[in-house]
Amino acid sequence: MESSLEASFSSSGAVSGASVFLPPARSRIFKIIVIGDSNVGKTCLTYRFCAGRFPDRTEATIGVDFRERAVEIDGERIKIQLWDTAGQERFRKSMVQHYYRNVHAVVFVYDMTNMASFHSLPSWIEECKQHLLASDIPRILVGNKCDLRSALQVPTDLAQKFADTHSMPLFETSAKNPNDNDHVEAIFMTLAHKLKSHKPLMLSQPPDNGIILKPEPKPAMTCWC
Amino acid sequence: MAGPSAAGLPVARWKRHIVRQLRQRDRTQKTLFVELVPAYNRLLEKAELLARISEKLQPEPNDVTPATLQCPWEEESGPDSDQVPSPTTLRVKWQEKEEGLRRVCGEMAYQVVEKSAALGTLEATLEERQSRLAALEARAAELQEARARQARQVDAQRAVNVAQRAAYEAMRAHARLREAALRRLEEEARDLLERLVQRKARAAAERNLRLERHEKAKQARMSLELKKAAKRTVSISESPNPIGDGIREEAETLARPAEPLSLKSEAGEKWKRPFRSASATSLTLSRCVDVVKELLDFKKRRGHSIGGAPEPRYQSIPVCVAAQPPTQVQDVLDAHLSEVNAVCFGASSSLLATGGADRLIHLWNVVGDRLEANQTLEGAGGSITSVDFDPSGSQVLAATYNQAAQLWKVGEVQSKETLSGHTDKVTAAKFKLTRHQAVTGSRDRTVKEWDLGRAYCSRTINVLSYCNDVVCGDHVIISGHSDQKIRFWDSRVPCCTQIIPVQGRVTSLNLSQDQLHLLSCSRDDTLKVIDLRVSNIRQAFRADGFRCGSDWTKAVFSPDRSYALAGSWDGALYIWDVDTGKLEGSLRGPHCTAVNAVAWCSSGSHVVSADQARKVVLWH
Repeated sequence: MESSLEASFSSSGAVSGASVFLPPARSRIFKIIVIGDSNVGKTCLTYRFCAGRFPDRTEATIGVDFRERAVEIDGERIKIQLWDTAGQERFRKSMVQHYYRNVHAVVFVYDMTNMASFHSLPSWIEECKQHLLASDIPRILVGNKCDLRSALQVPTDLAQKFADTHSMPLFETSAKNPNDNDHVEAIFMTLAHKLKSHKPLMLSQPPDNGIILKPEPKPAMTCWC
Repeated sequence: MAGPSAAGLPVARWKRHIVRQLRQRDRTQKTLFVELVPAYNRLLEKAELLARISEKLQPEPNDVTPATLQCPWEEESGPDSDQVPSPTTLRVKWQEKEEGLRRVCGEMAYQVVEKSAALGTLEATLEERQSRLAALEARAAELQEARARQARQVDAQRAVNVAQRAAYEAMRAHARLREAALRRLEEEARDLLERLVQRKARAAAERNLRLERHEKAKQARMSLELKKAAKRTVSISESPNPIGDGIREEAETLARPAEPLSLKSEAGEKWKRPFRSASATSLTLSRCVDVVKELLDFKKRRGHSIGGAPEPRYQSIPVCVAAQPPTQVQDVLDAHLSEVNAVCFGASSSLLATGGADRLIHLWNVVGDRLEANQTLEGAGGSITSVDFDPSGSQVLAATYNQAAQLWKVGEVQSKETLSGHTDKVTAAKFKLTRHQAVTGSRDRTVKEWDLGRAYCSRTINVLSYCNDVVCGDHVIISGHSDQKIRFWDSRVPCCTQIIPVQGRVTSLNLSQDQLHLLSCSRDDTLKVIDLRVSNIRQAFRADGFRCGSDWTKAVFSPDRSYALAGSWDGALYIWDVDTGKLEGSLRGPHCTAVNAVAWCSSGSHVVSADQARKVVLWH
């Protein structure tokens, strides 16, 4: 949390600072996009994860907001870059292809107190399918606003069934509830863990092993591969 | 008649008014009757008097008639009566006059009554009219007042209207201005939003670009590292290294961990990425073994990625750290009565099996530098084409000409199981790494998978061509064919997953212990190394003088995959260095005929070759 960084548009727009902005070469960056209807709490969810608290007031996201947080997983520093996308069609229509480019994971969000937001999930999934080239991108489903118990409209079993048919894990959480502070974090950390262990033989792995080996005096090696 | 004053009590006023009017009328009209009344009174008096006179006169005619003529009336009318001075006529005249007077008097009285009645009615109507008039007047006054009030109100309203109209006009003008401003602002907002979205899109694109650059830089770094590492990667056996010599002779049989996960995490901690080349010199043997196990675990995980419970596997896997190419003959035997077709080392490296065309399988102990006969396995129905030890070293599987594969237990002379089902000679029979499973290849153009526990064929794969050899990995079965192709079969997929063509009939296939490389030998006198990760031919080995002697000439990797070994038609053994791709050397020895099969023990220290002239040679 301490390392979280609210990367608003203005700060990221500073192109001149790009070199400063670039993460240290070794850390991996995971681009995760958060998708869902307007007013389901995407901004609050990402803000909660990156800033550790519920935002006082939010307005409709225009285009996209970037939020970043550096975490350490198994001793490796990893930067989670959350793309908080606009839910309103007019604020996102020209941006969609940017959202899905080289994305590492997709988070679908719906509002548990709003059946309509749940019912529009298939269209979001469809959009995701259309724009993603790889089919094995990790996707998770998050039901937000579970603290509003009296107003819940989307029953858990229905959501679970839906998540199962689309083979996604389902999380029900609340960005607002101060009691389960860890839950939102846990969701994203789960995702980060999954991403980290994903495709372990990819070339994108950090080449630190070779660097460790370098000072060793003996050049003789057995190639195990 | 002035109307009652607006102010004051109207009722009292009109009353007073009426009274006044009445009085006035009384005054004016009294005079008319005032004279009438005394006249009438006088008339009455006169009438009375006359009446009295007439009374007195009545008796007179009786007695003194002329006397009564002495009354004033008579005196008055004396002159007349002078003319007709008869009392009777006078009396008649008088009576007539009286009568007339009386009549007049009555008439007048009647008139008086009538008039007074008329007066009364008139007065009443007057009164009524007056009251009506007064009421009407009051009402008129009221209405007038109301009208005045209304008029005032209208005026006020009109004034208000005018003011409002002015205000309205002003507001309308204002509204127009505001509307224009709003339109402008809206346009501006739209414009701003569009620009914002555009900038956001640019920012997003830039982010993506940055991520890509990041990724690319990392990959570039990675490939650089890989290249560096690749340059440094040298085989241990080639490098003069004192620890290597120690290790060289070592073969380690590892107990597989009961729970691979814990080991994996442990190994994972020690070795973040064990799949990259690691410096053997810095490894203790156990670590080295960890790496291998991790490697195998990884392969297993990959293999099971689709799911399903892992099948039971053999508990021990021999590991060779470094192999040394053979240099000299240690022992020569005439092992069989005829051609020796197959030779195979057991897992422990001390047990050797040879199979010949004489339908026998001989087991040999490797003792020092000699081969000692251990046992003969009998019962094969035909010429042996292939022998294989299971990974635990307790079973021997042989393929025979009589369309079957047979299974022996080490220590038992007679065959335990016969796997029949092929319709032509079986050319290869191999154990799978999972327990109780085997694969056979045959010239009947099929490959069969067997469940050894129940001795039945669990799957038949139609392989389209004569199968000369077959090998199997965790989930892959690879068959070499007479139609110059190597075919790959996934045990989970019904059809062929891949075909790699070579330039001659495939005579032999050999899988390296890490299951990542395949060595093929084909009748174009070429050995090929196929990288199974990328499924392409990585190297091809040829040598002057090397010729493939038969359709079942076998070539093998050294257990550490540093070398490839094959026997030639003229009895020489050829050894290639897999890392450099160069011929390491050729060995000529006791073989005079074509070498059919070679085997390299899993510790890497011994090599055995078998030829068509019954000879089996142990090399070191």
